[in-house]
Amino acid sequence: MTIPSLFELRDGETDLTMATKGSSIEFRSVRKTYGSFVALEDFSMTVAPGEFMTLLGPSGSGKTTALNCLAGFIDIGDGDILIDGVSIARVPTEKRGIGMVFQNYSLFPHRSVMGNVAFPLEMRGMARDEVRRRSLAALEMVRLDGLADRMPHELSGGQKQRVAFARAVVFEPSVLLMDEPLGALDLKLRETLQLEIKQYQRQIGCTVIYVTHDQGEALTLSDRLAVMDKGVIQQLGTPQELYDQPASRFVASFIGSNNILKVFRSEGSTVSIEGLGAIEMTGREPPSRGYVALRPEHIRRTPKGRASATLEQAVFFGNAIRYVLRGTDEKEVSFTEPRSGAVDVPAPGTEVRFDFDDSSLTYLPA
Amino acid sequence: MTMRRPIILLLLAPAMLLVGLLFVAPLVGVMSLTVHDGTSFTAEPIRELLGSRVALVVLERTFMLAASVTAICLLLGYPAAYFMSTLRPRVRAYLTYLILLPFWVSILIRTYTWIVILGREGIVNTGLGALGLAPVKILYTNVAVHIGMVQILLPIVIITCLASMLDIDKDLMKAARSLGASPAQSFWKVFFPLSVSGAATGGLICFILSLGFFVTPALLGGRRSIIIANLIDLQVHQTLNWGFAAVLATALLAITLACLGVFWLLMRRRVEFSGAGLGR
Repeated sequence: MTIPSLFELRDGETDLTMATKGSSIEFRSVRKTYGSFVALEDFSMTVAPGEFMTLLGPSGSGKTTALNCLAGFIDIGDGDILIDGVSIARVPTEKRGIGMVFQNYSLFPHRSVMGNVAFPLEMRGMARDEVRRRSLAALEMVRLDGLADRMPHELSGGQKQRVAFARAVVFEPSVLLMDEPLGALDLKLRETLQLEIKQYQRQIGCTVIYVTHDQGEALTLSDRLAVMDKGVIQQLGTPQELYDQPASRFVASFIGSNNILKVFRSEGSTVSIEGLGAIEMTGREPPSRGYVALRPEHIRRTPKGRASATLEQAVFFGNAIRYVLRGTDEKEVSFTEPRSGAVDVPAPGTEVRFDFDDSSLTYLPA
Repeated sequence: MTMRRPIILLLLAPAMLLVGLLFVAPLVGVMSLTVHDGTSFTAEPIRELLGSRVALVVLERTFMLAASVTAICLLLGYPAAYFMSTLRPRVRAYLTYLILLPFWVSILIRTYTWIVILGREGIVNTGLGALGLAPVKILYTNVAVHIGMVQILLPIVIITCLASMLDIDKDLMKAARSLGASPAQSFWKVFFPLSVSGAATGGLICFILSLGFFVTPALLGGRRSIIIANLIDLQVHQTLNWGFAAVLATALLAITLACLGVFWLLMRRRVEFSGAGLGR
């Protein structure tokens, strides 16, 4: 099955353009410093054609630097970047054929919606009729063909974002970069646009590198994601791998919410864990040192539970209740309980017994 | 909370009084001289203006001088402002300070300085003489007037251009590059259209100031460099023909206002989107 070009959506002509295919991207130990500040350290990563790869991390983690190296806005320091196996270190930005969506949209304020979307085609010296046809097709894809003559300042945030997206893909780049494209929008709109972006990307088939600090967005959109901190990839994998098997405390705490608890000592099958106290483990070998991560949804309230703590507060979440407990060692442990049927929520100050499956514990290094 | 109308009027009163007494009233007085000689109405000054070849030649010369000075200021000022817009803020602040430095020196002194530099025994001609070259006559020509006026007006043009350039989001040029534009294309297709309204504003200010220049043409120019302000001065101080002076001044004012009007019509659309750019 071939991937349909976005222009087929308009008139059903299959030979109008060749279907866009994504390119492979390879970062080879890229290192970038600014004075004594190391923005990227030994950054290596291979992205498959058509893959949706997210760089996730707090600000200053190097994710935007990696994106700017790939786009050509800053020189690749040490190392190399290859697109389809060819080094792009000496290729200027405009010749890399990479589409990009910026955080603040960067629409040209002096050009209409149509003028913005037509810009990359005009730069490629395409005939006027063809420019118009393709621009309209791209605008139709993002359902803005009715606003072609508007100026950017007459658009809402979500509309601007869609125009920026249409402009970045209208010339059918094999690679699309997105730098926090939803950062300036409100939550409801972000969720809608996340689904749209994913859908468009499947239609177009280009390789996407997406930069965000929003872990929820990263989990929703990505085929794979790289969690970055201090210029280094901390862990790279599918959203499920990173959620279920975080390799470090940083990843465990950055993705989803988590209880990260210190392991004190273990004797035989009994282990002493911060916040939980002495736990008799039967299902698996207990951790000897370091930390364990325990997701809130893996803890359940039960009268015969192995651990107990004082309830500090119960927070109403609509579909669930979040319990915040404090152990005898003052460590906070929290868990969520789905609200199915009648639930008797204990009063704050009550002693709550709880338990978990040993298999749901993730062992982390110190 | 909005203030009540009487309070607003009260707060505005001192300024309005000052402007009314010291600007509007004398202006009306001058303009009335064009149709009234103090005792009765007369059409003599207007007839004199229309019949005077000198006045029309000088008016045309004033216009051409203002236009060429403005063109030179824009040609020199726009690239300088562009260069400054690419610098780091600290360096830019330092350069801005240097550009504004001449404002601390009186225009009169700066103009006399050009006499020292360009005169027959001036620095330029002594230098040329030392090299065994013939002296050139610059002082008391239109060239000297241009040099003097450009030197005075250039900082204004640079600062006006720079202000509008700094409002342009630098990511727009990055976006243009990523969309396939060469550095030259991203300049001409994106940066230039967005900075042109600021440059036009600088040009307009320069043009209007040039129309009313007096000291520089009087000191650096020859008889053929007389412009309208000098002619008005001549009527007031030498020939004591106040009616003619008034009609010349009114013509200058009318032309200036007409320029503003044309500029406003041309720029209306552009201002719309550059204003929107500021609010982003």
